Order: sequence, then structure tokens, then C-alpha cells
Amino acid sequence: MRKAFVIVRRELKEIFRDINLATGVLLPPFILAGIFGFILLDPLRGAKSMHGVENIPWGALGLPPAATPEQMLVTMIIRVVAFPMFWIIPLAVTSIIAADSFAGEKERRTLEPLCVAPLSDRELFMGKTLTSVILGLACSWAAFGIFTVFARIGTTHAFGHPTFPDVTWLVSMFVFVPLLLFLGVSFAVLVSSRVSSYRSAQQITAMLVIPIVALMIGQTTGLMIMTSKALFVAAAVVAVIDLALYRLATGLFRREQILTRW
Amino acid sequence: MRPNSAPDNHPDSGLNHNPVIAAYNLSKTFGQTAALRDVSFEVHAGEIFGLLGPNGAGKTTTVRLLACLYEPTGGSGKVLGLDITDEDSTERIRERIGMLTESPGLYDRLNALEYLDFFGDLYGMPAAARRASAERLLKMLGIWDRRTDRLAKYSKGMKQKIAVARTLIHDPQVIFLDEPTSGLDPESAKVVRDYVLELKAEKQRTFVLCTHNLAEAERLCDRIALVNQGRIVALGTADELRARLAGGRERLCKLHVRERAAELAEVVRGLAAGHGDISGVEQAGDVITYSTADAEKMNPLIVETVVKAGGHIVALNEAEQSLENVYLELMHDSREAD
Ligand SMILES: Nc1ncnc2c1ncn2[C@@H]1O[C@H](COP(=O)(O)OP(=O)(O)O)[C@@H](O)[C@H]1O
Ligand SMILES: [Mg+2]
Repeated sequence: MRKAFVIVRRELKEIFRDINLATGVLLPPFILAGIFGFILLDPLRGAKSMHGVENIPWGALGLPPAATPEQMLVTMIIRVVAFPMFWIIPLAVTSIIAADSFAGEKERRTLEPLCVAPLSDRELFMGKTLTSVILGLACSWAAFGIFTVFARIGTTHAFGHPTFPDVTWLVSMFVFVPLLLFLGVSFAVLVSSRVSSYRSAQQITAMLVIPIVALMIGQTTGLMIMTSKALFVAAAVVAVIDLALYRLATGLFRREQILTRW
Repeated sequence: MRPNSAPDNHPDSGLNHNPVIAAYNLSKTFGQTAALRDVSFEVHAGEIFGLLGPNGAGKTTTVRLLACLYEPTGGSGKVLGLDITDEDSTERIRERIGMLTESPGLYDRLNALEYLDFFGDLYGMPAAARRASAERLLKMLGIWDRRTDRLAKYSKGMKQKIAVARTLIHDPQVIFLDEPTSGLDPESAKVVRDYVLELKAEKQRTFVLCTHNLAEAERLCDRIALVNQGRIVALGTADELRARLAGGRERLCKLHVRERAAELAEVVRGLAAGHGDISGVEQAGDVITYSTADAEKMNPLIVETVVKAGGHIVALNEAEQSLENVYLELMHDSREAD
């Protein structure tokens, strides 16, 4: 697998040299973490009452029946609003970079020399997929770190002690997100192999975000609340999809396929 | 045409029963398209073997099969004694070959040194060796001064040179060159060609060169396979290919006279009328041209007749059969055979 990392190193070098890609893709997670942090600290100035949130099953989110408006607001931001954003953003980072990396190679015809080099199909596939997963995870975890600081301050103020990160968040960040990013990469490989320009690859790959946006809407209307149990089920579903996509993607990622079908 | 560096004057001649590259009835079909049909040839150590043919002939397919990028639909092949259809040997083959791909395929955001270093690393070379090899190649190709410029800024010719350097970074024993000079200006093309000859002479590397450029094949290749529509239609040295076509076919002769050319041309025409073997008598200035399939017999007859008619012959030349004619005729024949 050493050669996979040789490829990863080259890709990272290239990504950080493309100002648009580096700032446009890697920066948003941090901005987002900051924005949610500030939103979170805002209710500390004193929330009097909460309206229009009757649909939200507070009990499932671990709130006592007699929760204060401030506790409700902090919980809602952490568990309902910010929660899915920490999926969308890393998924976007990973799939945009993956689409750029695959379709970009195709567009610039750089895959043939790579195919001539002495690496196994698996090393080639891992080398090409690892970069975007690594970057997606790095962004996601760094943003999570920033958000944690704000969330601990907010929850301490509301509950008297920090209740963040809870199990659901940990499962989300360390089980669900990696599986989701893997799905993003495999999907990007499949899409890139079918379209010729990396712009269209990015656009199609970006559609992956749609189900998550649907979930987000479901959450805010109280239809779907992500408890840790629900999250495990979701993770299992994603894992199954991962496996299927991985099969398809590695099947496509054989030299002859790359050179003839791509 | 340079002399054919035949296997028998090669230092490794004892090994020549083992060709460095061999294709045995290689075939490749893409869906309905038969890209390659029963192609067989052997290439010996230190040889430059040319695959010459028009676009779509199957040249790229052939070298991709030999570089283990495609799996053959039929037949087999060997590179450096390793079977190209054996999964276990493909990586070992790739370690020891270099391939200049049809398009340079460079990473634009890297500079020349970084680019070569990346490939050297993939070939498992230690850092110092990568650096030394990159320096030697870039200097040789005359682009050492530009080594830290992003490849995006390079001209087409320089990009091709970087691709050449990439192909050779790990000092491969077998080198495939797929249209190495297409799209290059004459000067860059010459640099690349000269370098190929130099490598061959100094290091005894073995080459397969794909080209649609006749002059290039003639200048570089020891032996040439003419490829058309997935088949080898002729194989040999440039001289052999010429001879093969010349035998039994029309040859163009030029008779140079001192004066009265028009009058003497009439004499030759009269001779032609009596002999089916002379045809196409033309006269332009002091030169009378004609074609004959039997120059050995007809030329003395013509000379004798012209001298008898009082003509002064300055020279009689047989126009050499050009490789281009061979090429065009063979291409034509193979198309008709289909
Ligand atoms: N991936 C492919 N799918 C279908 N047909 C192909 C493919 N690659 C090559 N061919 C066909 O095979 C023939 C030989 O192609 P190629 O080897 O690229 O020729 P050359 O390199 O001599 O120009 C052509 O007719 C081409 O259209
Ligand atoms: Mg070709």
C-alpha cells in the first residue's frame, strides 16, 4: 500500500496549489463551525420562550419535561440544526475533491501513465480514493473540534455542566461520517467514469447531498429525529450501500476499464 | 537507411533465441470492433521495432496489450521472458518497461522535478536515485533550466520531453513509444528522435515505436511492421520492404540525353509499341522517362536503340522505389483483401 500513499501525497500537493479548490472546499467547514458556534452562544443572552417547536420530541433528545426555553434552544441547535450540517459539509468536500480527482485525471489524460506504472489495481484505487476521504474527515473533525468548544460553553450555561459531545454526536462523527464519505467517493468514481468533464462530475456528485437535506427538513419538522439508535440503523444502511458501490467502483477501476470505458 | 543492427552482431547474440518482446497471434476485440487480428512478431535486444500504419490500424492496442494494460482476446505474448497474460507477472513487466503514451498526460500543477520524482517513487526508486535520474534526463533533453516551472506553463514540445523523461526515469529495459513525435515541431521531433538513437546505441535498450510517419520509421527502426486494420501486412527492414515490392513490379527509369530529346522520345515510343514491357514514355526537357517491369532486359535495348538513332546518352537512372510507394500499395492491397 506504500504506493497508494505516494499518490495521496501528490494529490494533496496539487489540491493545495489550486487556490480555488483549497479555499472553496476546505474553508467552508470551518466557517460553518464558527457560525453555529455563534448561533449557539446567542441564546445565552437569555431566551424567554420557544414557539412552534411543539413537534419536536424533546424526550427523545434527552430533555426533561420541564426544560427551560434556553435548554430547548441549545438542544435544538445542537441536535437538530447543526447535526446534519456536519454530514453535508464533509460529504460535499469529499465528493467535490473526488470528482475533481477522477474526472480531472480523465480530462487531462493523466491516468494512462499512471496505469503503466507498477502498482496493483487496488493500490491505484486506494491511492485515488484515500485523498478525498482523508481531507473530508480532516475537515469534518477539525470543524467538530471548533464546534465542541462552543457547544461545551453553551451547554454548561444552559444545564450547569457540559453535555456535549453526547453519544449520538460521537457515533455520528466517528462511525457515520466515515461511512458516508466512503459512499461519496465511490459514487464520485462511478459518476466520473461515465461523464467526460469534471464540472459535470461535480454537479452530479453534488446531488448526493439531497437525501441529507431531506433528512434535515424532516428533523426540523420533527418527523425524523436522529437518536443514536436511529443513527446506528442509518450507519448500517450506508455501510451496505458502501459495500455495493465499492464493488461497482473497484470493478470499474481496472486498467482496461479505465482506458477504454472512461 | 541505417544498417540493420542484426541480432548476430549484438553482444547478447547468444540470447537471441529469446526475443525481448514477442507477440503470438495477438488479437483484441472491443465489442464488435476487431482492433487487432492475429498479430505476431518478435523483437530482439537492442532493436528498434516499428509499428507503422494509419490511424486506427491497431498500433496503440498492440503496445497496450504488451504493457499489460489490456487483456488479449486471443493469442499470447512475452515481454522480457514474462507472460503478458499471467496476472502474477504483469506488475513485474510494468516495473521494467517504460511507455510514452499517446498524450503526455502531465499533472499541470507540479513542476518538472516533482513530476519525475512522483513517478520515480512509484517505480520504487530511492530519493537520491530519483533526483539523479531526473537531473540527467532533464539536462539531456535541454529543459533543466525550467525544472521548477509548473508544467502548465510548458510548450507542447517541452511537455512531450517531460513525458519522455517520465518514460525513462527508472531506466527501463524495454521502451514503448506511441507516436513520440506527433504534434511536435520539427526541431523538438529531432531532439526526441536523436535521443532514441542515442539510447539505443549506448544502452542497448529495446524499443517498439508506433508511428504513422514513414520517414520517422525509416530513420529510426531496424525493422518495420506495416499495420493496417488490425493486421500486419508486411514486416522487414525498410530495404526488404522496398525490395519486396520492387520485385516483379514496374520500375520508373529516367534517360538523360544531351539533345533532341523530343525526337528520341518518339524512338523510345516506337520501341514501346513493339514491346509490351515498356510503358508510360514521357519526355520533359532532356529527360525521357518510362516504366518497365523488366529493366534488366529493356534498358540495354533502349540504350542501344537510342544510340543507333544518333542520341547522346548522359545518364540512365532507375528511380528508387520509395518506401512511401511500398506503404501506399500495401495499404491498398490489404484493404482490397478485406
Ligand atoms: N476502447 C475501444 N473501444 C472500441 N474500439 C476501440 C477501442 N480502442 C481502439 N478501438 C478501435 O481499434 C482500432 C485500433 O485502434 P488503435 O490501436 O488506437 O489504433 P492506432 O493506435 O493505430 O491509431 C480502431 O479501429 C479503434 O477504433
Ligand atoms: Mg494510436
